[in-house]
Amino acid sequence: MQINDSFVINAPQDKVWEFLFDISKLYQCVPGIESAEAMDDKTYRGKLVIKVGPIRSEFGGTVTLTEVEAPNRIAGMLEGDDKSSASSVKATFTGTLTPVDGGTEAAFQVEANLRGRLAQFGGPVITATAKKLTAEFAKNLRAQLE
Amino acid sequence: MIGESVPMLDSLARVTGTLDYMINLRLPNMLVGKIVRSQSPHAKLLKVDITNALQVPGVIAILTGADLGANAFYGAGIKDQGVVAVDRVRYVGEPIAAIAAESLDAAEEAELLIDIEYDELPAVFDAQAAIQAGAPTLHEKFPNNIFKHAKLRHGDLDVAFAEADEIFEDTFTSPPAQQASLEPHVSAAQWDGERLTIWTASQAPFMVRKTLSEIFGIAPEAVRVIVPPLGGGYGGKGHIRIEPLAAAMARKTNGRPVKFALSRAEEFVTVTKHAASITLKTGVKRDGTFTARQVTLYWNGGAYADASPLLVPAGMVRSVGPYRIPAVHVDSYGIYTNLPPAGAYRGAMSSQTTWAYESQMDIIARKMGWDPLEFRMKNLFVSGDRFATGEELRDVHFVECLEASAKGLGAPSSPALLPEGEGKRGRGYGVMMKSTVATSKSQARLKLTDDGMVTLFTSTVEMGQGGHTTMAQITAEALGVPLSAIKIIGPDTAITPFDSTTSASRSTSMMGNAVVAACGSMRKKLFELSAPLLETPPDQLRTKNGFVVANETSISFGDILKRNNLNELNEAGEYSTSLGLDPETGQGVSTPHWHQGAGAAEVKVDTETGRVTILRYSAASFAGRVVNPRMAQLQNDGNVIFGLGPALMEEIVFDGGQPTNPNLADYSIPSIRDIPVELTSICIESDEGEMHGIGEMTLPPVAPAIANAIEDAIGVRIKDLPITAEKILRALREKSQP
Repeated sequence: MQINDSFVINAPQDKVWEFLFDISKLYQCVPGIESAEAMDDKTYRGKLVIKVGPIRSEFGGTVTLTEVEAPNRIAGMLEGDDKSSASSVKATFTGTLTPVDGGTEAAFQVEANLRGRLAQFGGPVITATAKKLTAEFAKNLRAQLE
Repeated sequence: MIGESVPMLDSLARVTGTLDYMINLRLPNMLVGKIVRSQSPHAKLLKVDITNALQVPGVIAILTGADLGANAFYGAGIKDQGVVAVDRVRYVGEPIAAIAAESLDAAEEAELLIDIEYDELPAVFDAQAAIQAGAPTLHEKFPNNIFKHAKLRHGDLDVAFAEADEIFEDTFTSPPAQQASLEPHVSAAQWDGERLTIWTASQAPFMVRKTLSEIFGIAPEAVRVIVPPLGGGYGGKGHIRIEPLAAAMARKTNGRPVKFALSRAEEFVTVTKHAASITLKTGVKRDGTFTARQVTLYWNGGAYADASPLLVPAGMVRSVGPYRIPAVHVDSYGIYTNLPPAGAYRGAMSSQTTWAYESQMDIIARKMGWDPLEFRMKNLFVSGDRFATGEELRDVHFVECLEASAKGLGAPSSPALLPEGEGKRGRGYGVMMKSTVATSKSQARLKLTDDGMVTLFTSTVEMGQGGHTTMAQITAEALGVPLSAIKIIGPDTAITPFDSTTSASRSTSMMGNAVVAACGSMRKKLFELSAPLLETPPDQLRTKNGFVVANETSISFGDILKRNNLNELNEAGEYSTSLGLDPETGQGVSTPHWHQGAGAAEVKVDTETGRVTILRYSAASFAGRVVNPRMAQLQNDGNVIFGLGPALMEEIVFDGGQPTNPNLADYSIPSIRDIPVELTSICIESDEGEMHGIGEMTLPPVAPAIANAIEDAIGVRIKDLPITAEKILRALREKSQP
């Protein structure tokens, strides 16, 4: 399943990059995040609560960065599972920051492999949920940076 | 009695909700079964640890691959499917373990505590990708993933193509789809020592009995298979599904019965319609006749062969079409992929093949400037012609079916062009030719008691099609008793005699003839017993309304028994066919009779949205001799409505082997709002009057008739099912671009 999205922040690229790499600040912007900690400079561990339809899932997992090209681009992998819905997710992602008129465009591409009960909701529901979470994240980010 | 529209015997129970469907079964002390399924499309199983799951209160036992013996594999022809996965999984949804618990809650809690570790293997989902060099192999015995290759060789193809004025080559595809019975797969099993009883929603109880006796190494008679009325089958319950798993689970519960009822999501990973890619190369002459046809079929069989070793050759026969073509070669491939196993789907294989050959008929006709209806009429088989298998066709009525369908549409709607903004209107046709099971057997047993009541013991499964009502009507007519004196028992393999299967529209013909034979024996016996009482020779007696009648006198069946000091009379009847094709050439006899159907559609296409509305649909099937006109019409109509699904909306979408729409919200099936504005159908009979099944005939023509009508309306050709609004819009856009 592919999830692609982007949004524009009214702030300079360096400032956005810095913010996103400060986990304590990032923590305040991610909708549904319960915990997040850096294991080292490439690996992060966290817990995220997501509601899809009637199902509330609590994903625990790790994010591993495979490429960091400040302040332009990151790439990495994500692995997590939710015991309560017997679901798991594996994904690769890339994220880019590009200066645009009036600020910075943040874009990401995710290739996700979702398994278990949550996966049965189907692509349209999952991507719609992802869009909603992204919009919320962008709103939170703007509140902090703009 | 035959030819009368009597109501279904159990119609009152059906509409008042009191019919005991399989899913309603409750047994004393019954446990709930839950299947734990693979989340990986292809992986080695490194660990299946049930330690923690067993601690959950209410969990009685857990079945894993470690419990299975060496014979725990099954399949029609190729025994490749395990009762549960042993050391490898091959599709998302494959059973890895099963839980028997006091409650579903306990079973679901335990499910989350089973620790499964996978070692992922590369997976392949598309049939044609699976046969390329370097594709992952699913089963070592079939390194190129082709588990079946059926061949038909009739005539010299090269010579015949050289004689053609035009050669057409087109590929048509059908996606995987769901049988979507209202009632899911349900099985309950109970062991008493080395004797097994299984209640199951199956269309083939004796196939279940044979398979379970082989898996557990017990005599067939030690397995009792009981089939309550089913809430639909449509081929999805035609082969072995969850019965081995239910029986293996029940072996671990100390004699307590355990029942498995699948969820809708589980249905989508239990069996599907074969995804198919079909290429037709067809040679025609300018005079409107055919010279040659070459058909190449790739059937996506999923991860296990299941019924495909039988269906892939049937699909070969069913791919040629009902037209006179001198030279025909067919190659039909059954291919393993990492998708759920595929099986029969109402109008088995014909649903995919008719889509191909009837779509191409219109492509040819349009290119050559012929009228699609006349082109068909000119080439349709008639009795006495020979099919590509070499067999002579008798009692075939394709022309009448197509004529009746076309006539049913009525005069062309006026005006042909709808007002601006209301889209465009078009008409299209489809004809189908389908074989039934070549080799099969049906047995029936009749018991007459001294109260004049007749009990028919039959293993024909009642799944809503009215099979039992049909058998009662045939008994009433052939024995000469009122319908009210007849009771039907079965299927229960402990007391009802053998029947191969309730599928392929074979029961009315095969079981019907077995019932006729049993009635013949019963009448003969009654004549012998009553001849002295009526002082008339047996050959001058007849039966009527429960009486044996002589010229002047008569005596009731009950009295015949009483006067002879008999409590009951038992007689049996059998009907079987043993036909088949040469495996190298596909020559021989493929079917006891041909299923014949046609359809005509008038559609409206909204060129702004791509939406297709079926304004009128008219269907016809050949029934030989109709047993119950009302029920036959419901089958005809029901087939059309069922066929709208794969034609316009149904497709299971997989993402990395994971179905993403396994529910009836994301996966649409036709609803009352999709039914054609006008729907008519007709059953055609013949003087020869053989009883045919009619459970599928009007389904396969639906998709091509609609596609042909769409091309008639807006000039675009869709070759990939389902015909969605998106595909129509895309095709319109491509057409408008120079």
